[in-house]
Amino acid sequence: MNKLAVILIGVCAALAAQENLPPAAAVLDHFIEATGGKAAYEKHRTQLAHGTLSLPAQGITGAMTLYGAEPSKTLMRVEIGAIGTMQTGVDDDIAWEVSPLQGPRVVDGPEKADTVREARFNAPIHWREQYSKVETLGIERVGDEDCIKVLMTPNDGGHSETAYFSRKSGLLVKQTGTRATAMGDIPYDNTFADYRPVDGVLEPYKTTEKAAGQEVEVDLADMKYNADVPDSTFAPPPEIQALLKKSAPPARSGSSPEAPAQSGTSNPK
Amino acid sequence: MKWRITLACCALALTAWPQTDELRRSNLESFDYVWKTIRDKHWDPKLGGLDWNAVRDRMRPEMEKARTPDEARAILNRMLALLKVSHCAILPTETALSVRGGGGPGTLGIDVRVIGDHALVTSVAADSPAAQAGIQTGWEVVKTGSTPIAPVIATIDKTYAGSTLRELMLSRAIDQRLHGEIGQRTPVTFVDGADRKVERKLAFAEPPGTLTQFGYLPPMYVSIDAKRVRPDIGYFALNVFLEPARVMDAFTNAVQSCANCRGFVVDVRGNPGGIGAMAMGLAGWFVSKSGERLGTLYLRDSTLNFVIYPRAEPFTGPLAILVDGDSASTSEIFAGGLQDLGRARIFGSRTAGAALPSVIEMLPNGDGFQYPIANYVSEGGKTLEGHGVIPDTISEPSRETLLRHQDTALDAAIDWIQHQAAK
Repeated sequence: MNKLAVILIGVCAALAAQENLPPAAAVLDHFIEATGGKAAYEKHRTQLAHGTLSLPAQGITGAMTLYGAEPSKTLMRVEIGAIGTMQTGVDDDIAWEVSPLQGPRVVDGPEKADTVREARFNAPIHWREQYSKVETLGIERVGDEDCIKVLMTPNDGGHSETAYFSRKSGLLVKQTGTRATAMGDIPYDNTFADYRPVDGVLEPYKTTEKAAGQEVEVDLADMKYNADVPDSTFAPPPEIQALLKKSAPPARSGSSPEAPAQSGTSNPK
Repeated sequence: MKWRITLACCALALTAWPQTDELRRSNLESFDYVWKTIRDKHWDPKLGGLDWNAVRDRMRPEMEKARTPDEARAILNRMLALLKVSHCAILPTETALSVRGGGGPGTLGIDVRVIGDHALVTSVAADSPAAQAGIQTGWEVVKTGSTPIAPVIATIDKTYAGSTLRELMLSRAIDQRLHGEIGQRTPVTFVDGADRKVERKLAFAEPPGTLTQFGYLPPMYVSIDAKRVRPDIGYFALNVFLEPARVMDAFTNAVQSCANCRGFVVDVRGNPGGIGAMAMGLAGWFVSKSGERLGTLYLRDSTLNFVIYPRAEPFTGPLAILVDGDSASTSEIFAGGLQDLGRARIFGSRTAGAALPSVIEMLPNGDGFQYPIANYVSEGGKTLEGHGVIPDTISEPSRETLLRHQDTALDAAIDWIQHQAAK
């Protein structure tokens, strides 16, 4: 009898908790409000941030510069003394990486979809464009905070993400998922902290990512919006241009840019 | 010249430290850190069937009694040795602080390999102290300072009998005795080409290359030798996979300036490894097809493919890679992967079979802790750990060939390239 009572109490508590859960769309919209509101985001056209990227357990630290611009342009440059300069960029529909370790590469496949989606400028206010389904999964404790757990399924076929929003502040505290990379799918666990106001929008100054057994910390020192970031900043570097040129289909004589040739097929009409 | 990562096999400083509460606390914290890290991060959650809790119960009380840093390291290294894997060791604080373990950073300018039971000079750097003293390849090192080499070889030979690590451990033990403080002099006894014992008092000099430090790895000198071994055959030797910005630039120049060459030789003999991803970067210069892999890393929670990113204009001619028993880790990943892809022919002797990707973290007591984070399987499905890369053409030096200043592995590679080009 006592055992049954305990079970019933547990079920009732769970149902009560579920009833109190807000719809995922409301949680995401609340996040926009909590960080400054849509109007504040919409004032921004470019972004420039400086900070450090480090693997503290291994004693590796580098200076990081992050550029962003509408609609989906990013450039992250990390200079690690013993390694050199690592660059990743998105120029709307071209994603690329230049690493002194592995060389240059054009990002493609599922990794490209993830990368381009993540590059969306002012991403929080565009969630409806990017995700076909969002659902509230429950309440989960992250550190000292009760968080609303939201599953977000992108509309480009990429991996789902699970976001944890503080019940108290509405801020994004944690995000987990699986990221497509050239080396394979890698589960990740990101936490966000130290939110500070930047030109009307709250931004996390500390991000910690756990992936592939490693922990990477990003600590921003400064950030500003609408900085002078010319479009040329995002142009892929020459070694990427060379790869793009190599992979471009050869031009066929007589074909026009408006009507690209369909190799090996004839027009049935 | 070789420059090796100094692992646990290095002689540890013998300074006697009294046990203090602080030392005891930091030793126990270090023990717990190491034990927990292996429990949580070793790629094999079953740890090869080892009862890890029982290991802690047995060895933690020993750690509580450790009176010196050396005793503490010995206990941790004994615990890690139970895992029977490479890249798992305690790097003493002294190693991290003193540029290299053992004698110091200074070099005499010779490479030595144990062939049979003899420590033979396999190369003499131009203008080095050894070259100035007339030391020749093929001479045998029989004594350094007052230490005879034969017992050192016998001890390591016994410990590593049947292991692919034998040559690597022998080389490290001897190499360590051939390094010292820069400017200091040491007597070294050789047997020369005429079988006479000769003693030379040699001064340790600054090693070639540039001093670099990556994370908690000890500082190391990175040296590059890029040249043509024939007018139409390029050659690039690297002593350790570090300092990628400079190394990759030099490699790019070497390959691009040899775009019309008959063939190319990459020499990773004596190269103990370094940053694993550099293997992918170098391989990108020799592979045209996207999606090719050198192999696969198996971590506890994910699988990572060592994907090669082809360069816009890769070198497509014959590629030879030179390896030996001192080629380990990233060298094995590079050579083994390209061998499996059928892109390179491997020359030399079997590699060390120490190919586990690892990281180095700092312990509470200040020592470095290196542990493997993944198992590595080459593209052909071979586990390199404990097996190594077996060359397509086995080419071992002998005393006779060394005395004739022949480099048998390089000669074989050049012959093969010339034969390929003539086909």
